[in-house]
Amino acid sequence: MTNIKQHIIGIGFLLLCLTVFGQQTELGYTKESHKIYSQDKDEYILKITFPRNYSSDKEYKTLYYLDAYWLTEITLGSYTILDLCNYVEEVVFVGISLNGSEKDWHTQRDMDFTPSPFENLGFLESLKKSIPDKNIKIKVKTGGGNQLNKESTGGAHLFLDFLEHQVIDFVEKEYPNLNKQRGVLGHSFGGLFGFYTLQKRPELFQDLLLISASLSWNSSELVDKGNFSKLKDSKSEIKLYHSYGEEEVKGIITSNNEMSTLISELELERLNYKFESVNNTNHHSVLSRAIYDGLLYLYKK
Amino acid sequence: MVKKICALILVCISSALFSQEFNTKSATNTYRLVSEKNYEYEIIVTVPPYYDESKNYKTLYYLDAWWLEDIVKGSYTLLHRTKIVEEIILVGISIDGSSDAFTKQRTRDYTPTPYAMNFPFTIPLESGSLKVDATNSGDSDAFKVFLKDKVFPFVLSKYAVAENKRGFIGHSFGGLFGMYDAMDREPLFDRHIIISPALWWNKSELLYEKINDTLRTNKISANVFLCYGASETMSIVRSTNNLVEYFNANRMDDLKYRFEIYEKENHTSLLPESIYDGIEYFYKK
Repeated sequence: MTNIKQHIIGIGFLLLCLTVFGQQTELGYTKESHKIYSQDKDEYILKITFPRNYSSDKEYKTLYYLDAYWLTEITLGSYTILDLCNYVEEVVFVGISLNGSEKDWHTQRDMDFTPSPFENLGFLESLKKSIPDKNIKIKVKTGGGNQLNKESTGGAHLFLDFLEHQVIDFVEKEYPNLNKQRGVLGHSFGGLFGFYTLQKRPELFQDLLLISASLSWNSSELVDKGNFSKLKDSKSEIKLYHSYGEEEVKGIITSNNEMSTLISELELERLNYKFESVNNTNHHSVLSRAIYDGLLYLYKK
Repeated sequence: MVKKICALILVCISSALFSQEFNTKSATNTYRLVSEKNYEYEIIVTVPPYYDESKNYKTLYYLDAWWLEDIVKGSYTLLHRTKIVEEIILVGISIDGSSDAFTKQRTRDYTPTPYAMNFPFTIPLESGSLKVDATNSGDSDAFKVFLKDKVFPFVLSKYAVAENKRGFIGHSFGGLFGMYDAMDREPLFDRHIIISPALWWNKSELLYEKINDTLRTNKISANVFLCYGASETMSIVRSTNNLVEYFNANRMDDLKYRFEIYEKENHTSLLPESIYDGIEYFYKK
């Protein structure tokens, strides 16, 4: 781990270094960036934002948010409003991002957030059946023109290892006081990954903010009671905010509703759970409400 | 003349650090400008990914960048990355100072007339409170001059922006400022996102005079996205409802507006949603 991190050097960063722990900048939040490499040499960027009046003597809750490539400002902006109105606790944010184009970013999330090699999205099957030509093939593309296939997907287990053993280890070694409680924020494929971590390593995150999860992935394979045995045995106290936009495609709505029913039926005593369908929003506009609502639910004073 | 405006280029904050490598992300620069009255402001300019100097971008100005910078930029990023809205340049107006300095600035700069209501009005500060009176409010004319004579020429000189295609976002006192501007004979902006406006200020008497003068007599057009949260205080709800009723009762062909009430939301919780909706309303492709 020792040689992996590289501080980003630039005028801005140097100035921040000088002011980070000395004096406050404008609102008093301070930001840092670190580069970190996975075992197969993919480069990621961690964007750490410390709360106002941050002190290394105090312990903090930490929220790891995925897709920082485009969600950094909406996440921090929502938190800023909540924080300055004094509604929420102090939280340290760690965004996971990468350098590169929109296509690069989609390549990363298609691979890292999906739990198994691509077979279907769960909502085009009826369309397929309705077409008489049996040889018809449906190609599914994500942003940046990337095509989903078996080779471009299914890396969630590796990404989860990377997150636990490199990202979180790095952050908590560098800042031993960020140990109070960990959270994860994910949207779409990121939400799918969030449920995957909840099932596979329920001890890793205690606060989950999962929006419009792509739970229809591969015939809704995660929506299965059998996947929750570890969570049922876990002693961990967990808070889960789970939502989607009312105007999304049917596959998202159905699979998230099924997941919600399933979670409620598990009757987990240590799980605090809020589930909502957000009015008048679609797969993307839901973010502007759900991040704010989710942060308030998880971190309300 | 523009060169004389003492513009101190500050550090490129946040994502700008990386964006310069690839230009695939938006980039933000912060400048300082000083007004005639010797108040110092920060001007926070964000260009979209693949910014191209040969283009003519529309600009969207937003007040209170002191705390709204990230939410405005974040909402725009969502809308832009999903290809819903056009490429625009965001210009935030802020100050470099404490929360108390920020409260004093917006009370002074955004209110159109000195406080003259028959009950005392105080705003809590981190240290004590601000008793609002004629000495610390009602200076929006000077603020308008600053925007028009200093900020606009500065942005025009530095960025590839279209003249006279300026949008506006203002919240609370900022919304009050925006509504007065929208109803002005010579508005600074051509489209206004007005969130929870403090229209109760001095009963908006001057505002109604302006509306009569501008929209009815001189047929000047205005384009407004107006909203509040259903759980706000009665003063905001009533004064805004009154204005909307007035608009409806006096049909004005040159006024285009959309009015939205956010159920469940209060004076601050409506911000993320209303900013997103307002940007979508005016800049949808």
